[in-house]
Amino acid sequence: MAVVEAPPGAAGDDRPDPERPGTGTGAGGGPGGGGWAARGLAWAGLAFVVVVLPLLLPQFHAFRWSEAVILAIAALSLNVLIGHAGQISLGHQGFFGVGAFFAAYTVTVGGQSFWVALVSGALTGAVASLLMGVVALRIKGLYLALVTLAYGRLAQETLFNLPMFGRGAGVEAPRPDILQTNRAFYLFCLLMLGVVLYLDWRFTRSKAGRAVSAARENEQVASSYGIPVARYKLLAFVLSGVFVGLAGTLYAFWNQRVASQDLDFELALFLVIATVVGGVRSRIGVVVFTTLFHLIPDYLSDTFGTSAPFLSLAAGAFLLVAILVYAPGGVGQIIRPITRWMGGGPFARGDDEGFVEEGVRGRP
Amino acid sequence: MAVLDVDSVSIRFGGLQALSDVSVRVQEWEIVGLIGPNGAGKTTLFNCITGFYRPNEGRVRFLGRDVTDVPIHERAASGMGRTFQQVGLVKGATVIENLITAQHAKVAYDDLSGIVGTPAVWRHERELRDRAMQILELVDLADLADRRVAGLPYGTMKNVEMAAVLATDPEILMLDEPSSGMGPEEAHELGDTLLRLRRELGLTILMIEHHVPLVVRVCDHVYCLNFGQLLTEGPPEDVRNHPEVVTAYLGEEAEEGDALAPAPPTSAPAAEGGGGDAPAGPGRRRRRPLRAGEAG
Ligand SMILES: Nc1ncnc2c1ncn2[C@@H]1O[C@H](COP(=O)(O)OP(=O)(O)OP(=O)(O)O)[C@@H](O)[C@H]1O
Ligand SMILES: [Mg+2]
Repeated sequence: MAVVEAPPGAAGDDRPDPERPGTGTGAGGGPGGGGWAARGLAWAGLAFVVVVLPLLLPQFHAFRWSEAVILAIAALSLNVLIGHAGQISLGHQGFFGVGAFFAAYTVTVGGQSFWVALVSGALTGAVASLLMGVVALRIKGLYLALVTLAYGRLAQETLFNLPMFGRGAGVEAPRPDILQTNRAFYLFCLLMLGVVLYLDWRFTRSKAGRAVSAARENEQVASSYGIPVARYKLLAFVLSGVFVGLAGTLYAFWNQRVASQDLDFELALFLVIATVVGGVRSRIGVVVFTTLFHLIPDYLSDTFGTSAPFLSLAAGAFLLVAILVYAPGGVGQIIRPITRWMGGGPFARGDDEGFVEEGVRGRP
Repeated sequence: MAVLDVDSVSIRFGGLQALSDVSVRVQEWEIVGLIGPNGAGKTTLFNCITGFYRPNEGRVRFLGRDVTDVPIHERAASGMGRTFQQVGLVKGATVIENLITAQHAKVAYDDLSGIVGTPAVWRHERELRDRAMQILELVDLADLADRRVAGLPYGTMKNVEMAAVLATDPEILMLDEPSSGMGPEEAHELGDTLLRLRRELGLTILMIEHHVPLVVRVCDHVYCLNFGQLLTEGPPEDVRNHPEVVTAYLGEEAEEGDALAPAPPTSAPAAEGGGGDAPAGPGRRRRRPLRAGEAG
């Protein structure tokens, strides 16, 4: 069952948060007028930095930020597997790449529009991920990790070098007119991130997400609640595949071409670190950390001239250890007081944030 | 028609015959007890009934349908609710989340609309929550709704687990030692609750239970298992005073101090009968150490 020792759970869990800013202030606990003004200001500041600032800066900033947003979507995809389903993928660059290549192919060779490619890329990711899900029903733990690792590598060596994908030379992926500029493309990436966040949020608060979560924690209990466990594991893989296929598609059009050497194991490693340090099951933590984890080394290397990937992965390894020791809920846990406050709650820690999820049970 | 009809079920684990030719029948509205010393096979029988184990021989029929080859989740969805000896709850979730999750098979929308979030889904989610709340109120746990399960005392978890199973809307409620972790007073309250649940919800109950006063008070019929075999069955008083049952439990008492004896008024003659019961007694006693050896 629980495959990754998913860094203990509810610490990074978004569940206890108030549903949404603005809705229901709760019995007696709502902030006063001043509190709302301060929160409004904070939201406005956030919106300014995320939406307006990149449009004011030179175009290449929007280009750079787009990649960060795309990686955040891919990390949210991995969060569905590691966080919600308790599965692992060390070959996520494979699914990312499959989506990217197929989307590019849809436009360049298939002659379809960008919008069709968006759907085809997401669906391709879903199908590839579903196949891995079928494998995951049989193989667990370390062995599954190895299989996914091999899959990612294999995809890079073979799939991405297929004749239809340019035999390793890559495929062009021209943007549609309306998304020509980097600024417009950045806004579109933000919109897609919003959609993915919304879907992930709805998922965790509806039937399917509850079933996946219950199956992660205790398959026996889940099945005695009437949940077909295998089916929901597959569903988690499909949802994860849709997200990462979408991310891959955006990546293809962001770069305006896909080539196999851009999709190596380093990407999978980046995503695993981003998800775990960001905080499994904390979608805000994952997004915040992934974007910063990508952007900070980029901007630092502008100044210091170090190679960005080296910096980011070295720092990542360090952060991973630090997080596992000090804040198992990841960045999501660390910034919880802030997110809770911005959602209308008090600026305080919850009382059950140290919760550690149980391991696998024995016989029923 | 019997709600549950276990027909000559046998199961082996390697060299251990955990159940041999066990038949149990539970009628609608009945509260049936399943007793027997440790390792008798009670939980194993539950596992065969609910689909966690596949019996080597025999059939399980539920509501007139042969479910021997039906997967666990389908049996659960068709109205088999069970609790686990070691508390079966999603411990990382809150109490009410468990009760909402447990309504899985009754949820009226499909997975995709849930993820997209149509207005009908929102409405239905509120109904699921309301229903969970009603069940919690029914078993007096409403004030714990938003508590994380992991932090609750064991006896409380047992009650929460029962509430979660109620949320699956079961035809039969199968409880594996519901009173474990509870004091005598809580156990008495549990008895009240079970009787009330039957009255108010028309439930049928099959329960594994060691606490004799509780069994005698609530059960209409009792089965006693020993070494995987049905020792006897009948009304609770008869089964309790049955010489072989007493002997089986006395052997147990000698080893672990968990016996039928504590039941105050009728215990004296029972103990006496057990002590002086030549035919069944010695044989049972001689088999004891052998079983302990197998288990270890
Ligand atoms: N999956 C299994 N594999 C091997 N042996 C098993 C398995 N399940 C149960 N057993 C064995 O079957 C026998 C009956 O066990 P079971 O758990 O059904 O007893 P029980 O009557 O519920 O006892 P208790 O009162 O201690 O809960 C025991 O000897 C146990 O070790
Ligand atoms: Mg047992």
